[in-house]
Amino acid sequence: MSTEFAKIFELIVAASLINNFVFTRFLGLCIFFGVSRKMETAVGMSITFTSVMMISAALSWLVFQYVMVPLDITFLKIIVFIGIVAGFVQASDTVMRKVSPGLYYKLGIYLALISTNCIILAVPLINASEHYSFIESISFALGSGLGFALALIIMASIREKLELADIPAPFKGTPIAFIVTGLIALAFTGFSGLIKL
Amino acid sequence: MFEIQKIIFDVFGLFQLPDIYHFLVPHAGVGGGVEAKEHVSLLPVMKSTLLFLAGIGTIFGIGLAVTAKRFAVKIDPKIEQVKDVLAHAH
Repeated sequence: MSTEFAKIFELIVAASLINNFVFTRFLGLCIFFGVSRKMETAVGMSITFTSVMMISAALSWLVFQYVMVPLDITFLKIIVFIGIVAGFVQASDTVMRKVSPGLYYKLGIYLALISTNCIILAVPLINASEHYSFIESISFALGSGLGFALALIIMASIREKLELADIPAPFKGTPIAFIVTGLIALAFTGFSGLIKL
Repeated sequence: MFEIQKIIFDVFGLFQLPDIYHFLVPHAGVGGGVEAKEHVSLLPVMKSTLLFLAGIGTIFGIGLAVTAKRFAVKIDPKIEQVKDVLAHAH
């Protein structure tokens, strides 16, 4: 039991810090730069992102393991995972609008952005290719979501300060954000080698 | 391979041609399941692919339609009309 816990903990730490999707693999950058301008949107986005990622990882794990592997059609995984994520996001969008309009007003705009995000697609694909079990897949998704939330919140807090900073005119806006991202990514390489999986 | 030929002939009602379809339907080398295989028989893979994609499409379509019906939110058309009449302050 304890070794299992240790494995899952290692998986979460590895997914969130060592192989951080934004700073190490450089995925999901368009949402990362689009949403990290303000702290409030960054927090809303990271909550929505983590929950959608966990549920879609669970759904696609079930479909992959119980339908696609027995039928021998795992080469379809990219197309099927895109469909599963998009369908789930659309359904949750519809349900949320009716059941809790307040939550929809807060997080609904991010749901539409999420449905075609590359991190959301990358997590089920990695789960499939690494042969993770159900619990491991969910914890990997949780770790990736936490890592993305961490990246967004760090970036949002820096960018809010950058608004007031004295930046040379050519670097204002997105270019300085890219430079800062590169610097944080450099800092995140310090986590590499922390855990051997 | 003969099965595929038969299916093609059944579909198009053609006569038996010489073995031209060996060129049209390639021999698959690697693919299929989780592990790479030396040889994959294409016909069952094609069948299960079509069935699976059709099935998952139907399930998602019906599911989304049902959710859209059950959780429909009524939007009063008067809101838009009133907003149009009012001054656009944005």
